[in-house]
Amino acid sequence: MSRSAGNLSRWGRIFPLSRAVRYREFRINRAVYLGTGVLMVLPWIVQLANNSWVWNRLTKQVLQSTIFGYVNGALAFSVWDVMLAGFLGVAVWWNDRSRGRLGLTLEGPVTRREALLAKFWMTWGTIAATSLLNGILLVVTVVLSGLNGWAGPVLVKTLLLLTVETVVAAATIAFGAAMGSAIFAAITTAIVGVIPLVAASVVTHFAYPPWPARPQPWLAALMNALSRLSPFTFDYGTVSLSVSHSALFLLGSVLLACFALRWWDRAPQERFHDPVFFPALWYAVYAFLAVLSAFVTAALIQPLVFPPTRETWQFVAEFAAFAVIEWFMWRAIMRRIGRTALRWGPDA
Amino acid sequence: MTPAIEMRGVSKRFRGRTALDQVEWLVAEGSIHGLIGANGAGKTTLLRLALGLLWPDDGAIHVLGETLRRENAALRQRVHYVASGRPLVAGFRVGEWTRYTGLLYHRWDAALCQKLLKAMEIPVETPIGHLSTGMQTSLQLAVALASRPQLLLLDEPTNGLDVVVKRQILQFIIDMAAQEGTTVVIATHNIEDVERMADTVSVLYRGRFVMQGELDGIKSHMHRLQVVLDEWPQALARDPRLTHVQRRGNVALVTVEGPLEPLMEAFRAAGAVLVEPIEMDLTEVFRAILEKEGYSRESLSWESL
Repeated sequence: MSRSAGNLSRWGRIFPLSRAVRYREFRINRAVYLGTGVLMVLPWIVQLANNSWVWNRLTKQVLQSTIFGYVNGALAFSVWDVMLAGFLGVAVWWNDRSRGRLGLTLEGPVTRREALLAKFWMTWGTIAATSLLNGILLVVTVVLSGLNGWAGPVLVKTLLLLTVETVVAAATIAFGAAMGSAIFAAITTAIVGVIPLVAASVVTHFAYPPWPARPQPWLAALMNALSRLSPFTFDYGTVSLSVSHSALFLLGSVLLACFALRWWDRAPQERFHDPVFFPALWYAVYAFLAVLSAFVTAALIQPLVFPPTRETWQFVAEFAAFAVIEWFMWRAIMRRIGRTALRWGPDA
Repeated sequence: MTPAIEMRGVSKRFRGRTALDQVEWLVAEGSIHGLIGANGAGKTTLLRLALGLLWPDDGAIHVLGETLRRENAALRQRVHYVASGRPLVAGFRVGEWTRYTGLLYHRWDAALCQKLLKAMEIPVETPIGHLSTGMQTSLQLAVALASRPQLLLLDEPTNGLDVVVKRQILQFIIDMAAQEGTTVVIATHNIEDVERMADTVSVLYRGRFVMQGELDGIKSHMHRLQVVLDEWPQALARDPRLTHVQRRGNVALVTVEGPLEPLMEAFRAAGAVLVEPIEMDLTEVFRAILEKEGYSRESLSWESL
């Protein structure tokens, strides 16, 4: 690795950031890292404290119900933590670009790679530390509730939650490396996370046809598999599924980090204030808007005909036709916006 | 000698607009180079290209003997860029900022930084956001000098500085360049700063260089004559060496490009009662060069508006 930003410490081999970059990243974003960490842990502490504050014959049962719920997919504070992980990924970029003057920093001997890796490592460090604390709290709950055999499944679920948070944070950081707008990065993460769920919904439609047709087991299995690709699915049924999906999300996080480094290395500096760094990404923006508006348009046409006679394929055909037309419509609109001082559109 | 900066056929466009067009630029190592140009001429773009922050659409750039690529952070250990009028990291205190830059630069001179901050009366405990624009520029300059760069790129470095600090800091830069062989490029609208400091000067206009050379050479390239002449011969009135003529009655103020003597002879031969050279400073030379390029903004006057 090139030694650009000061000297690497002896930790450099496993933590490839110079002292200067670590110092700056923590100094700029310390409130974000620490604040998010506290917000991630606090609900779990409050829950344990509330449930075990007054010890009576029901306390054990309450604690046991917490553990049963956690292991069996009750959302509890998991959604909150995943949302905070996504917020963390957006906030470290947003804060650095505004208050932290990231552009000014990159005028010095700091490689883009180092600046990005600092965000990845410190975000992951925050998530890992909070997961560790949450894991400890849950194990304490296990011990207090007398369900000692449940410690393993609790830790596996905690590992799953850690990897889900990691993949969501990695996605927001990665999209932040290709987009100058925090809103765009957050929306893109949400879309990418929701795509498997939408695909699963579509498959559901065919897996469970109206009576008297028989359900299609292989399509139902496909639906389950698709829905579990989304980090927003929290019900993994078995411990072994949780372990395999943890590995999957970890792999996804690494891939996202690789993509982020690639995008960030290639982003032209003069586009740092544009909503997207690469003009080709605007096509994806038009496509997203076209899909949304075409769905709405196709759905609105239905009530015009009574009684509703359309088959699924008719809806799909109308949706596709509208999507193509509206793609061009959105392209024209966004190009017009791009010519204004707003710059929320392409420049050509 | 290897040039500190060498640009060959460099072009840069922003959102379809050409900012620099096939620029050829050489800055000799150890020299102080003045970069002057009208607003939007491309000075900042040129400096940011030399820093390796912007990537050229065409052409090649070599800085301190290295060819610039996509990632040039290692080179920026030896090149420092200072641009005034930009807020620094508001959340840092001065001491934290110098600590960070101290960790960042291999050749960091902490003692020099402390002395400069003391001389400029910038307390290390002050949050940067509380400093005035001029103080922030002073801080940037102090950090730049303490990093002991081999190439110092200054973009309007004296904006917001009071005359005392400005004079002292410019003299410090001149002395540093002389003693340590630092190459300095100063892009500014304060042409008197360039006239005071620079060995060589480039004039940039609408994304291309219209003149480059030694300061004395550029100053001797343009001249001004006061001529008293009743009737102007056609040939003389259309002489391409005359870049600008301002007449009031039979008295004319004539701007001349190139050698002066032949034209003085021509005026005398045409019956001029008086042909007298008038001294031009660099500001007037610069103005004359831009006028020749068609940049005069004559419509920006009380009468015409």
